[in-house]
Amino acid sequence: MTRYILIKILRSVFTLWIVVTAVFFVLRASGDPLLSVFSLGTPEATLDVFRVKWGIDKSMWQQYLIYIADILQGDFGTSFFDGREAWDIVTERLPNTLLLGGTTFGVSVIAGVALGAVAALKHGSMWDRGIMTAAVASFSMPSYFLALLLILFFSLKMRWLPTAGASTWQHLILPATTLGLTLAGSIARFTRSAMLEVLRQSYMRTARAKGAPKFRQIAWHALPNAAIPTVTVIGFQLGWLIGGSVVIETVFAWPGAGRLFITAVGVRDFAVVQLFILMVASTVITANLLVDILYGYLDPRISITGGK
Amino acid sequence: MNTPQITPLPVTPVRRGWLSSRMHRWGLGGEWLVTVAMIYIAFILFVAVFGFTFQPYPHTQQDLFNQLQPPVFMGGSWEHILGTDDLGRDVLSRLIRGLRLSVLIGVIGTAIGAVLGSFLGIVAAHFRGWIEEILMMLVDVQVSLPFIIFALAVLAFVGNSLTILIIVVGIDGWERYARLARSMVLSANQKDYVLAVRSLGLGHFQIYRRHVLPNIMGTLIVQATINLPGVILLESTLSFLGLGVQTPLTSLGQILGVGRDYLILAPWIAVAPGLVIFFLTLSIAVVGDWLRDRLDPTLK
Repeated sequence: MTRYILIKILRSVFTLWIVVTAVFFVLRASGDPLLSVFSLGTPEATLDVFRVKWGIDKSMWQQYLIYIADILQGDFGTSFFDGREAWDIVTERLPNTLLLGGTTFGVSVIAGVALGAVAALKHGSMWDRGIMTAAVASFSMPSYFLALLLILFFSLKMRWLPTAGASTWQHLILPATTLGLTLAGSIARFTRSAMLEVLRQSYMRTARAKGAPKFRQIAWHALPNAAIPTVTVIGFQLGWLIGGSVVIETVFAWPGAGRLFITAVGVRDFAVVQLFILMVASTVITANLLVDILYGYLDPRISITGGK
Repeated sequence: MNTPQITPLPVTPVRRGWLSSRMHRWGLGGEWLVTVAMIYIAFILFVAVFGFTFQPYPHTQQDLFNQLQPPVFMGGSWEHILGTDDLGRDVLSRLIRGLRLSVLIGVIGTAIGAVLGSFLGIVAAHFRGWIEEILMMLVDVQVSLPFIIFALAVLAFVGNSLTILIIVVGIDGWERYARLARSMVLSANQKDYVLAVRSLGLGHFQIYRRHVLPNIMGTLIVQATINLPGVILLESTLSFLGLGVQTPLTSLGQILGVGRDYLILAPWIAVAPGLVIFFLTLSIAVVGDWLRDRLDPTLK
C-alpha cells in the first residue's frame, strides 16, 4: 500500500512538472510581453533595462532553469505591472475564491447527494423524473447565462440582491447559486446511479429481511456504499468547479483569483498567470491523488497491485 | 420497497395518433421528451444550414436610428421581431448567423476531439510500453488543468483566429475518447474475433479498420454526442468572455456578451441567444442520454 501511494505521489509530481514546463514555454513562445506594456516607439535602451529587470533578456532555457530554481525556493517572480510579488497578488485574492468555492461545494454536495438519493429511492416515480430532468437542465445551462438571468430577476427586477462585488454575505448568494446548481445537478446524477446500484445488492435484501428499520437500511447500509463511487466523482468535479468559478467571478465582479487570472491573461502578466495555473493544477492533482488513496480505504475489496 | 412487482400487460388495443405511431415506428415509443428534443435539434440544424435564405437583414447592418428596439411581444414593431441591439442591428438576424457559427464550431470541434482522442487511444493500446506511458501521462496532464483555463490562456497568449479557436475547442475532451478507445481496444485485442483474423494473417491496420473500429465505433459516437453540448458551451463561454469569436463574425455566446452590457435597457439581446443555447445543449444532452441507454449501457 505504501509503495502504491508513493508511486502515485511521484506520478503526480511529474504531472505537475510537465504542466509547469508546458505553461512556461507556451507563454514565452507567444511573443514579447513588453509589447503589451509599453507603447510603440519606446526607445530600445529603455526596453532593455526592463528586459534585464524582468529577467527576459536571457535565452529561453536559461530563463527556464532560473524559473524552476526559483519555484523550488518558493519565489514565484514579480508581476510585470505593479512590481509586486506574484505570490502576494494571488494569495490576497484566494480567501474570496475559497469562500465562494467552499460555499458552493458544501451546499451542492449536500443538495446533490440528498436529491440523488431521493431520486434513487423513489426510482421511476415523478420525483425521480423531475429531479433527473432538473439535473440535466442544470448542466445544460450556460453558467454565465444563468448568472445573467438571476441578476436580471433578483437584482434588477426585485432589487433584493446586489449584482457585483463581495462586501457582504448577500453578495455571495447569486454567484454561489449559479455555480452550485450545475454542480449539484451532476452530483445528484452520480449519486442516483450509485444508489440504484447499491439498492440492487444482496446485502440490502439481507438488511430488509432481518427487519432493519427503513432509515437504518438507508443510512447504515445503502449510503456508505453508494458514497464510494460518489466521492470519486465529487473529487473529479473540483477541477470543473475551479474552471467554472473563473467565469462566474468575472460575471459577478467577484474579487477572487479567477477574475485576477482573466485580467492577468489579458495583459500578459507572466508571473501571475504561471502561479495561478501552478496553483490550480496542484490543487486538482492533489484532489485526484486523495480520491485515489481514499478509494482504497473506503472500499477494502479493491486490491492494489504491487501492495505489501 | 424494491420487491419486483409483476403488473399484467394491458390487453386493450392501443390507439395512437399520427405522431405517436411514428414515434413507435422509430423506436421512440413514449419518449416525448426525446422526440421534442430531436425535433428541436432538427430545427436548429435547418436554421443553421438554410437560415441565410430567410434572414431578414444582414447581421452586420447597423441602423443607428433604431437602437435597442424591443421585440414584438414587448411592444416592438414587426420590422425587428426580436428587437435590435446597441447598434441597431437586428437581433433575429444575428441570432440566425450566430447559430450557424456556434453549431459549426461545436460540430467540428467535437469531431476533432473524437478523432484525435480515439486515434491516440488506439495507438496507446496497440504499441503498449513507453508510448502508452507517455500518452497516458498526457491524459493526466490534461485532466489536471480545467480546460477553460487552458483555453483562455492559449487564446489570450497565442492570439485569436477562427482556426485557432476551433482547434482549441477541438482539443477539449480528447482524453475521454483516448481512455475509452484504449480500454476498448485492449479488451478487443483479447477477443476471439481479433485473434481469428490475426491468425488468418491480416495486417494490423486492416484489423483495426475493418474489425476493431466498427465494434467500438458505437460507444465512441455515443461519447461524442455526450461531449457535444460541452463543446458548444465552451465556445459560447469563451465568446461571452470576449476571447472566442471576434467581430465581424458572430456566435451565440458573443451576442450574449454584448447583451450583458445592456441587461437593464435591453434584456432581450442576452436572453434570446441564451435560451437558444440552453435548449440546444439540453436537447443534445437528452438525446445523448437516450442513445447511451439504448446503444451502450456500459457507459453509464
